[in-house]
Amino acid sequence: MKTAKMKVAALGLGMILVSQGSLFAGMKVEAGIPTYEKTSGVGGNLNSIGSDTLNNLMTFWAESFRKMYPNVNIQIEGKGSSTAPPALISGTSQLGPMSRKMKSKELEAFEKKYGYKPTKIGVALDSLAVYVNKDNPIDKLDLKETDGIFSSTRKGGYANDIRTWGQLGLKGDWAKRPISLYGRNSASGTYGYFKKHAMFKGDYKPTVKEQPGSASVVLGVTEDMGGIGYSGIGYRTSGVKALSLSKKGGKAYEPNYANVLAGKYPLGRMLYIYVPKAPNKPLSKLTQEFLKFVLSKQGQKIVIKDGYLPLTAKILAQQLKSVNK
Amino acid sequence: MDQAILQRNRRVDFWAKKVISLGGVAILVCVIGMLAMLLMETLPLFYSPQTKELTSFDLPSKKSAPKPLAIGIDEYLETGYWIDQAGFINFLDLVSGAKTSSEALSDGQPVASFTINEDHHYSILFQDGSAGLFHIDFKTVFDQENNRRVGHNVRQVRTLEAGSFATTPVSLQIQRTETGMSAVALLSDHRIQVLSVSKEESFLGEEEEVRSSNFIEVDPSDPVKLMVLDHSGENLYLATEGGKLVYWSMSDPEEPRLVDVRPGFSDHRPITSITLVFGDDSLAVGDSQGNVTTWFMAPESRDHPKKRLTRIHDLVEGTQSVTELRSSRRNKSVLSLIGGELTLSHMTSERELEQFKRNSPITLFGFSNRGNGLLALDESNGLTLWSIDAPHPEGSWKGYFGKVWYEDYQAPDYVWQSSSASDDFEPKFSLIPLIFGSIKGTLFAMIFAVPLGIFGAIYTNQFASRRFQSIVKPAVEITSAVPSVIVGFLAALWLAPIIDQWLLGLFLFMILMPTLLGLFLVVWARVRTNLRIRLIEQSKELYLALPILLIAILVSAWLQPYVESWVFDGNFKQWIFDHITKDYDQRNSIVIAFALGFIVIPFIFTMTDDALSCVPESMRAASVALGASRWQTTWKVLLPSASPGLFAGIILGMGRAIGETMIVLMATGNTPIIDISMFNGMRTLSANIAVEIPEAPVAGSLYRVLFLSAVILFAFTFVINSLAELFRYTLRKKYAEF
Repeated sequence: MKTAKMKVAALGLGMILVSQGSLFAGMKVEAGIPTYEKTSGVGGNLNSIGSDTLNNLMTFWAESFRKMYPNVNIQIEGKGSSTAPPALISGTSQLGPMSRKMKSKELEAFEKKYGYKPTKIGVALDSLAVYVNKDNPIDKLDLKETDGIFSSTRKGGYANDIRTWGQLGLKGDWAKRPISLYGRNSASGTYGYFKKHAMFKGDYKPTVKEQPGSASVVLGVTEDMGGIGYSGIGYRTSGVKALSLSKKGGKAYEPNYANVLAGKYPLGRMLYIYVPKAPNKPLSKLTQEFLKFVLSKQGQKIVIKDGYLPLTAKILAQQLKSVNK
Repeated sequence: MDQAILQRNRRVDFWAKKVISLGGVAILVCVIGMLAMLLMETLPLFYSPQTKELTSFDLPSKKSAPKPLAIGIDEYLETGYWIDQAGFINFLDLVSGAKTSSEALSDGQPVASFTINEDHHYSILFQDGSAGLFHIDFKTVFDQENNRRVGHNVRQVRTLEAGSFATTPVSLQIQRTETGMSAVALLSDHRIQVLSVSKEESFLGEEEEVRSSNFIEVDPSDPVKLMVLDHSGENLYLATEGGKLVYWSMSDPEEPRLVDVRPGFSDHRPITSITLVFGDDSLAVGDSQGNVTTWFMAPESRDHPKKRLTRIHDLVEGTQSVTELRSSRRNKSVLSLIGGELTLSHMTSERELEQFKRNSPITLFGFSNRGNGLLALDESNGLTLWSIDAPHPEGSWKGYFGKVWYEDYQAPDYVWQSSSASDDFEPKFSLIPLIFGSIKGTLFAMIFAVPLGIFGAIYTNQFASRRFQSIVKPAVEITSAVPSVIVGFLAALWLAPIIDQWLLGLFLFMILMPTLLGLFLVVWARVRTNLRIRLIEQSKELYLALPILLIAILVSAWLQPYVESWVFDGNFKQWIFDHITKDYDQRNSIVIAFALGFIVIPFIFTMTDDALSCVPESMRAASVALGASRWQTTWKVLLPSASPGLFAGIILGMGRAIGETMIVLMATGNTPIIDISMFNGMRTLSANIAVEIPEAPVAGSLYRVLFLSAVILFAFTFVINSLAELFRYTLRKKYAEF
């Protein structure tokens, strides 16, 4: 049931790309992060509806968690971050993975139902990457240029509409080659995050091909010579190249762990799980244990395995505090 | 016959009739119920907002008390406050109407001037020359019993000591920035001073305060009257006494840059109030004649791409001067105070949502952050609290079906872009690109499916052998049972790359195939004079045509690279980009034509076949008896009488294509463009609903707009299917004569 649902959500395209992620092979979980200890009395059902970026990660966490607690049943559905708040509000899910923060409208809708605001827990770091075909000679872009490529409003201030690779300085065959745009569907948190940070809150061009999952964006770029798209770093494959990005004409930084932690890579972000936690009341045992597992050495190792970036011990301690409050 | 059996039959007939009519009625009820449900979800888009006067009482302060300067209200509509001339902020409980607490803002310094920054932020200049940015912070806390309590806290978030400016400012506005603040002050000598303070870390790791101060040049003959600084502290808008609008950019605080200056209105009428609409992209301008308009930087015209401040929306047309403008913190609504009355209007839809008035003119008002409440103070010291429920302020026919000039766009346009991760986003709900997409997809599918379906059916029905018929007809009908998700999947992942690769070959084939077939027919007409050869012709035409098809395919595949290098400079797609469309897409309408056509062909094929079979045998016999050939019989006798059936088939196929979701969802890029070119994709109504409904908050604007598009889709298919039924009815009536 769980896997079937997930596959439908990713329209079958996700499976192809699940088994990669050794790109950060050298990365280790920081020393101060606690190891998860098994406790007793954990069982029942847990539903998670939300982000597609976090979909694979949630599935891996759920699998490992179930190995410890066989009588726990976890269902995961990932169509996009915008599906998380409605599901939390209607009570169909207990976990709301999101690749962006909730908007105030979503917070208000939640509060209207429960009387309090949901608790957000950071579970991993991600660097949203801009991908091009592996044969494309370009290797860096300024955010102003990504705005000129993807946006119809160009709020970043780039003077002209960028339609060919030649406008970005490529020569020869590439000079006249048109740019083909791939993006996520609007339910995705990645869609919103990219719009806010790489397009300065402007609008997408209507010619951006909206793909139902991160994997299909990467697949589209792999198959399309002139393609460009964006997705979480966890979906990187050998068929695409992740570009270095710069802000305001400054130095361009690669989307790697050090640059994300230092805040140098402009599209580094936190991935969250939202939970409905009543004030002054602990979470249900199952939810709490699951989140503790996610925020443990084992959980963060899975983050690395899936190609995302683990939390530092300091950030993790803060997150644990809001789980146990 | 046995009486008992007869009676039993009659009884069975009676019950069968009842059950069948019940089923029919139930279906009818279901359809009507569905339509009613769709309409019920859609109609609230067009309702006017609900407002209610919650409470009204006198401000709990004496007549002699210092004059209130501003009032405000928390988002739970429980706590109100007012700031007075003496420099005190007073809180009051809106339920009981009593004053709860009072505190001094700056050690009892009286207020000299005052600017409202929205979101409970106030830039206040005190009489001793010091200034500050104050924030009234409402915080919800829960006690042990989970009862909500709204606490409040007044914080001075930024401070400017006396003497920060060249001379005493007349008014000032402070905005907090990430690293410090920007302040802009109108000085008593009509100059404008811009001050930017930021904290920077030195190499030794110590924080250092960097100040930069600049004067903005102003025309001494036309002094500045009003100013507003945006939240980033980088854009400054001014209005002058002479009715001019001025826009300065301060993205580099060292060097403010004049971006534009222009007279607001041709009659130079005075501008009486300006404010920034939520999102800081549009400037709302109120004038002395009571009009409220919004402006943003847009190209002057197609020939002059230079951006200038341009009047975009006209919101309110009043009679008296506009006293004050305030913008909502949730959407693009603007609240304007004109002649003691408040008007709430929405920028994008240009809809006047609601009016608020009291017996005596309103002087001050506070808008809650959620836009759900309004607190107003009138001249006779009466306070009134309204609750406002305006869930769909952007709903208007013009917004859904007309061209709208959205913020930062070059010109008015039809745009579908429904969501964003930021709150200050202007949702764009034009259904025109989606309706266009549905029609475009259907059109291309029909171009492919109609000739194939109809001619295929004619051949199978009239020319082919019985054996051939008995295989082909069921086979075609079975294809309609292939789930559309599989067709879509194949089209997206298998067909699209193939067509992309063999695009030119496909066009070559479309030219070659008819040419070769024509040539063959010319040759065959010569050869068939030989009687022995003519004998093999009967019912075997297909086997003669198949090799030609094969040859056409092979030749066009072989020709593709040569033609590409001879005619199209070696790159056909580049040629398309240079000469035909700038938006060539791998997921294009050709792919859709094949995939959707595949789903539609069985409908057309079956209906045509049935219609031909329905033509009475007597007509065919008469035609043949009069010496007509098979082709003449089919073309001149059978087809005209079967034509209503053909039309019914085409129209039914159209109904199927327009409602088809999975194929277009998967095989197009879902690009909401308005371009009929076959080289790019589309976003259809049905696919759009499938893509966006999971994210749409129930009862939100997007949710209801999606239902509106469902109503349109329903209407389309309803009309189309009724037409098909009408044609079938004519057909049946016609044959009833025989």
